[in-house]
Amino acid sequence: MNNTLLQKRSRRSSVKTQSVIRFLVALLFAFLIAGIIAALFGYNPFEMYVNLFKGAWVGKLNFGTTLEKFPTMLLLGMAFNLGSKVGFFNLGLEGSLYLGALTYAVIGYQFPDLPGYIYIPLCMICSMIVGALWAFIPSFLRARWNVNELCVTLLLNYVVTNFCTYAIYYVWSAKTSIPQTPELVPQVQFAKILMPSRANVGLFIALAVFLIVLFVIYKTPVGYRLKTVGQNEMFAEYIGINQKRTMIITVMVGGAIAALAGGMEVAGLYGRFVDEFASGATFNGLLASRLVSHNLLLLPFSSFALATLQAGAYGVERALGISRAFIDCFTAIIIMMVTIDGFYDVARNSVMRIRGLFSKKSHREEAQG
Amino acid sequence: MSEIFSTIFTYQLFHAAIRCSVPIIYASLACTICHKANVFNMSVEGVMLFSCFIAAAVSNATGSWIIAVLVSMLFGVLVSGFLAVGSMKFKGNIVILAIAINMLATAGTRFLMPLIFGVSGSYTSSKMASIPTVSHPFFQDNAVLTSLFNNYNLFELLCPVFVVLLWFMLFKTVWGLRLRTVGLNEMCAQTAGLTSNRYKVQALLIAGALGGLAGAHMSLGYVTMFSENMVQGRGFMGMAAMYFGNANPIIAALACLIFGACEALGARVQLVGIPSQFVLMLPYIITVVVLVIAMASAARKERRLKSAKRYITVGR
Repeated sequence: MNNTLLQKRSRRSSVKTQSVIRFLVALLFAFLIAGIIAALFGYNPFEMYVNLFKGAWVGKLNFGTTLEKFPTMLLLGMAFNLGSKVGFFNLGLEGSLYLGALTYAVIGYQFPDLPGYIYIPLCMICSMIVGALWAFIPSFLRARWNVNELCVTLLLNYVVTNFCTYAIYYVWSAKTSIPQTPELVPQVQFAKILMPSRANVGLFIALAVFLIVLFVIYKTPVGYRLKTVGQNEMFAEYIGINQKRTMIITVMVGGAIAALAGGMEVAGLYGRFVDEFASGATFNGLLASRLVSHNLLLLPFSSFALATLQAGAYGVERALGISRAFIDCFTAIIIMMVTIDGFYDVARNSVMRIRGLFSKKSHREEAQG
Repeated sequence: MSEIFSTIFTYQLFHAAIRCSVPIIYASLACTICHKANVFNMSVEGVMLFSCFIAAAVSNATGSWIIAVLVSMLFGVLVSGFLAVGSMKFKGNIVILAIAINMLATAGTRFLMPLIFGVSGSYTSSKMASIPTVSHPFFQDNAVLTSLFNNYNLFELLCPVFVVLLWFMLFKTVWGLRLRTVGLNEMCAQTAGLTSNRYKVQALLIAGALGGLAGAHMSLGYVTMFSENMVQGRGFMGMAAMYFGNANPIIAALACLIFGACEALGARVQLVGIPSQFVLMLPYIITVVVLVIAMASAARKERRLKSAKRYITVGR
């Protein structure tokens, strides 16, 4: 009785609407929890949320800040997403990003006479190659000997950050008090679009890369191959897809995209390599990808939302004096709630069970009557 | 050259290495027990950072290190409990939950610091009670012996006890056997009548307590202060050491000693003018190499086993 009722209910609403409802409920809970915490510390939660969105969208500088964060988020989300499509949890995006950024920054000040239309692609391609090669290491180890990629990528991140610190202190140092590389020559820096902010043409590059990846994944056999490898390795082998090679290449492309994100941060925002400018980059990519449950099509929305949160944090800090860290907490709470959206199912099932009890009772009453 | 060597490698290095490695050892114990139950626990880092903060705050408020350690262990258990509920009851992805916990720890401590301590960045105060150090009068007259054997704090001395205790629990008790069974083959354990989730939750909670202890040791024993992001990947290093030791607490602890020695060396090498970054990189590279060697040999063994099996079936 109970069972059939459940089945009927689940058949009535399709899986897709279910997942959307689940997502919205999780989001609502995250907003509620963060609001309650804010209220506990004596801030007005409504004011906080209003300022959060105002600080991200209203005004040239504010919206520009959102747009400045958006491309990095999108590219990192894409890089992580590609890895997860073939079942590779790439936590080493930060390494690829730093190495790509370092390559861009180092090549970007060597030839002051080269025209921009040759120079920018040169820098970008070099940084992408370096990022891809760096991503090759963990993916090869995973394919060859089944070494846990989570552990390897996490550890190699520390190697990269240490290496970059060494490089900008000793090898390519600007010889200033702050550890950084010399400034890029002007022709490789990206043009700014919303002037008081640092938003730049990198936005369009990121969107173009996104469209290319989207096309490849959804409209070419390559995309089918990726999905097959991610869903069922045995089947992929059976129908003649070299599963290992597919995985390695996909992860390398992911690394290249992450490196491009790093190069664009250097070219668009800082104009040079600054020490540890993007700590936590991997996790941003993971969040962007996970928020839309690894659905590539929806990725721009989630990356825009995360960029909004990051940019809005400044607004909240300016207007209400709430530390920016609180908005980071809020992001973490959102991702937690979205991840454990099973609580929705548990709650729903218990509601069903209670309803089932009642309906049983009514049946019994009918029988008695 | 020899001069440089003699300034780097002195008898004081021993004490420094032990000091640096103890927080990593506690973290690696937490990772070990989870790995044995086949729970992928990446949250040790976040638990450590949270409990660093809690221990510092409680110690600052009450002036007692015992209460601080207990409260931070309790808090570690709570956070791990959340991870257990989220991943087992609500079927959330444990890796993402753990990463969210780590993020929350970084951001949350940064948010709470100005509210509780009134400063941001780092905080230290004479009101903070640190974990007492133990020194024996027998060694006190000799500088070398004092450096080697004295002035360790309580949890540094207790560390080997914890390592051996965990090894004993995992490998010499019924509970440990069952836990390892759950980790090796869940279906098999369930068939034998074990509630596999119970053992997983137990492993997670113990790991939370150990992580809490590690955190309390970091902010009250290793140094007496709290600073933003002070754990700096030690939780992940503990995980690396666990992989290094193939989830054997004793070998993992030895690996932690290597890591600690590298950290201590890195600080010293910098004094001489050699970039410390390369020494600091070393533990991670060593771990990756060892991990690869371990997995490669395991893969070869498996391949041999497979071919042997085929031979047997063909022979029959």
